[in-house]
Formats: sequence, structure tokens, C-alpha cells
Amino acid sequence: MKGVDINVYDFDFDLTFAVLLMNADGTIYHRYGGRDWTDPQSHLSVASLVDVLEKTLPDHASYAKKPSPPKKRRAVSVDRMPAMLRKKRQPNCYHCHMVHDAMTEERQQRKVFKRSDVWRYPDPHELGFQVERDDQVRIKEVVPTSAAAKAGLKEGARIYTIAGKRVLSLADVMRALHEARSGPGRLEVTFWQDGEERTGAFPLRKGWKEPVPLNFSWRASKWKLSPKPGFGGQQLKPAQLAKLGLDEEAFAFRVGYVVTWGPARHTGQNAIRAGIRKGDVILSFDGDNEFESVDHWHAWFRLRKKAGEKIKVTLLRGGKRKTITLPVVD
Amino acid sequence: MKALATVLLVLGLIVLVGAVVGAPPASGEEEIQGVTWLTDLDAARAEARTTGRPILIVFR
Repeated sequence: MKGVDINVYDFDFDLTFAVLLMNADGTIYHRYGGRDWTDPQSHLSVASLVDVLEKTLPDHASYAKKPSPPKKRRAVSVDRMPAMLRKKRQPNCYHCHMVHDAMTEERQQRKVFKRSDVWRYPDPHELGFQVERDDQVRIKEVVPTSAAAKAGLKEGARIYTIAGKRVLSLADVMRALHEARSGPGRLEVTFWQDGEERTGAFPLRKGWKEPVPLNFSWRASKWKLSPKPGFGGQQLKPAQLAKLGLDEEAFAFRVGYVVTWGPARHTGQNAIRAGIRKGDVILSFDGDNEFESVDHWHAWFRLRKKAGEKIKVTLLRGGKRKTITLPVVD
Repeated sequence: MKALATVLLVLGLIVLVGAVVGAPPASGEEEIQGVTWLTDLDAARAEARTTGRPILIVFR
């Protein structure tokens, strides 16, 4: 990403694979390459990419008849962002997710960071719907009573526009949600359903963009967020759980590291003071162990916990259960 | 998640494949599985401006 102007090449920088389809004047027609928490390639397929490419060509042809180039903005690249320039050692290689990291660091350093700063590119789950992988405007599922259900969407419907902007892919849908106001309000959606074109609106409640930790769990940008637990490790597999006499379907992880280095070492030191040790098997937090993965737990900790709170951590050490109190620190 | 951006000028899928297979990569180009990609964003936009084609950019 070194030297890439993020004001022009603007996409979800937490990514597996991102495609921009654009005009030479900088107008972005469509984006491709969104994903959800289930798999890095949850929405990558040749069929869906070909579909987006084919449908972009007529959009390009009609744009040529009435071009509206974007306003020119000051060029910004990740390697020139203040948070990066302040580092003693500049990275040799700039990964895409470092753009979000630099944005977060910058706001943290200026002490103006808000949790809502990371509510980027909302997953459609936040409004209660999912889209198919191969036909990414086709609704795969609608949660009853969700904003999507209230907008009139049903399984099998095909979204045409969101807020007046044509969408062709999950990445387009997430971009449209990203550009929508945080709420409260309404977000217009047009779609094809039961053989006819319909118009509806997602009712947006205040804070609707705040991600459910599971939806946020895959994002590399979560690591920069605080509070941090100061430790982590590998999730135990069913056979490992059974060997410890635990439910094979339960969530548990073995502490593989405690952060005792770098700028977040105080979080690891805090965990050690509280009684966390490398090798402990972590079973629950305040009795909660409904986590799909260690990443899910990391996202939950960062999004849901606040400095000053105390968490009861139940763990297994030497075959014995133990509960310790972990103060949450920033 | 390498920050490598590759750029392709799109004419249409059939034309795209037919146009790029067999072309030896030059400076500022990279060949991946028989498809020649430009690796310079500014050069790609300049070429798209000249040819009137849309641009496909991949970040991975």
C-alpha cells in the first residue's frame, strides 16, 4: 500500500481480497471482495466475480455518456500518515489493514478516539440479512423482526440499489452501509421480489453500526483496540476438551502467550498480577463461554469491556478449576 | 494480505483473455497465470484514459 492514495483507492482495508472497478477519472463503479466471520473466502467465487465484471461494463458505457468525476482531494497514503511517520522504524511493507491501524492510532494519540470510529463497513447481519456467495445481491436469509424484515426483504429477493446506489456485490452492500448515517433514520433499498420491483427502507436505530463481536472478529484492525486482555492462545479441539473432561462442544483455549513486550505489556503484566499463567485453560468470563473462536473472544473483550470493570475468569490449572478476578485496563 | 495492487484494463471477459494471453510482460507489468497485469496505478489510469476502458484493480 506504500504510495497508494487511499482517497482514490478507497475500500475496506481489512480484507482477504479487494477489487475496485473504476473509471480512469477515479470514479469507482463497484467493489468486490467482502467477507464475513465464517471464512476468509466466504464471498469469493469465480461466478460472483464474473457477474460483477459483466454488469460493470454497461455501467461504464452509460457513465461515459454523462461523466461526473469525483472532486480531487489531497493525496494520502498510509506511509505518509502521521501515526506512521512518528514511528521510530518505518515498516518495509505496508499491508492494507495498516491503513485502519494508522487511522486508529492517530485518533488514539490525539485522544479523540471513539469506539464508533471502528464501526466500518457494517456486515449486513447488523441489519438482519445475509447474501449468497455466487449471486451476491440475492438474499440468503432474513432475520424475523430485523431491519431487513421491516424493509420488506425476504429470502430470494434481489437487491438493486441501497440509498440510490446500484449494488452488485457484498462489498458494494457493505460500502453502502458504510456510507449510511449511524442513525437513527431510514435507508432506502430497492429490490426485486416475487416478480416485481419494490422499494423499502431499513429502519436505522441509533448505534446500528456497532458490530456484534462475532461479525467484527475477523478484522485485523481489532488488534489495535483497547481494552486488551493481555493474553491469548489456541482454541482447544474436541479431543483435547474430552481429554480434560470438558464438554467437546464447549469453548475453551489454552493460554499460549501473555503480552510482556511492546506498548501493551502493561496488559500482560495486569493479567499476571490477576493470576493468569501460560498453560492455563480458560473456560469462561463472568460465566460466559459462548464464543465461536479465540478471535471472537478478542473482539468481545475489545468491544464490550471497559477499563475499570472486573471480570471473573474461570480457568483450569493442573486439573483443578479456579476463578480469578481480572481488572480490565486500557 | 500483501499490499500488492494489480491492475487490468477490462474490455469484456472474452476480449480480456484473448487480448492478454501470450503478451510478454514488460516493465511495470506482471504475468499471472497467462494474464498480464499492470503494476503501476498511474500508468493504468493513463492507459484507461487513452483507451476508454474501465479498470479492474486487485488488492490482496
